[in-house]
Amino acid sequence: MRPFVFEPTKWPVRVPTDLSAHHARHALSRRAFMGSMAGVAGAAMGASLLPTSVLAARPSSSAPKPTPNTVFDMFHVTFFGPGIDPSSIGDFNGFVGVADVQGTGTGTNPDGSTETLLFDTDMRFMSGVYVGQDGAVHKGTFGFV
Amino acid sequence: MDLYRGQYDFTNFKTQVHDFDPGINPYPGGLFWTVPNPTLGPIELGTGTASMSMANLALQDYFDIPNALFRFEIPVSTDASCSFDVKWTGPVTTTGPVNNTPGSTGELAVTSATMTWSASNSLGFRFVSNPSGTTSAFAQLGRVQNGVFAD
Repeated sequence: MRPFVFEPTKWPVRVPTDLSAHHARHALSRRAFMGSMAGVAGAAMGASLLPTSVLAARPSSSAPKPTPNTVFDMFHVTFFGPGIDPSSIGDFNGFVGVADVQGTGTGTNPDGSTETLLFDTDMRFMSGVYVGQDGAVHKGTFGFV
Repeated sequence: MDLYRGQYDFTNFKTQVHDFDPGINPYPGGLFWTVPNPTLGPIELGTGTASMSMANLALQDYFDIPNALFRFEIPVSTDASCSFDVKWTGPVTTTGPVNNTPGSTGELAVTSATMTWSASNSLGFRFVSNPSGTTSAFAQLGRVQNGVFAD
């Protein structure tokens, strides 16, 4: 996502404010935030310190956790730029790359007609170690497309 | 990966006609446009060079960024796939610390990049980028630590 000026009120279709408000409440409630931090803290302290009920509820996926940084207080992503961590995953240590490339190309429509279109991309990678949703440290490579 | 007709419009997106991305999983608070296992070439921070590619990646066409974020169009998206090859080409022009993201540390080098890509959607649209004449609007390579790994 390139660092353009986000002005939803100027978008051609109005953003459904009830939807965004609903999701905003649930996506980044203080409880949800504190819950995710409790998982990290638990992994750091050692599982033996956690009550059995917490262990049973712990997700088992090795998938990474989204970055805690948000846009619109609901989407876990950051823009990119000098001094900004472009990672889309949290609890991460490794290499990153960002490529905002623009150019042209040929679009072929369903009716067979062709046209020249402009493209703009925000491509990133993250390669290193991360704490997964299961609380364990994993090694992996991810792309941001 | 976004397509525009005629001119870019990064404020109102009125000219955007396609937005290929892998979605937000789970929506809206999950991993954002993130997929596992792209193919990476050697990463050389000193020269500002690296590469990333994927072939036949399944994703969605959300048509424009506002809809990709807030999902208000009907249909919201259509199945799509893409292939891409990104090359960070150097040279490094500046290097600086990660100092603008709370909870993150590291060092980032500004460099240049090129890219070729293609995509298609289930409605019969296809796109192939022109490999010549691309512009590196911004490119960066570096090392970061965040969350429990940050200093």
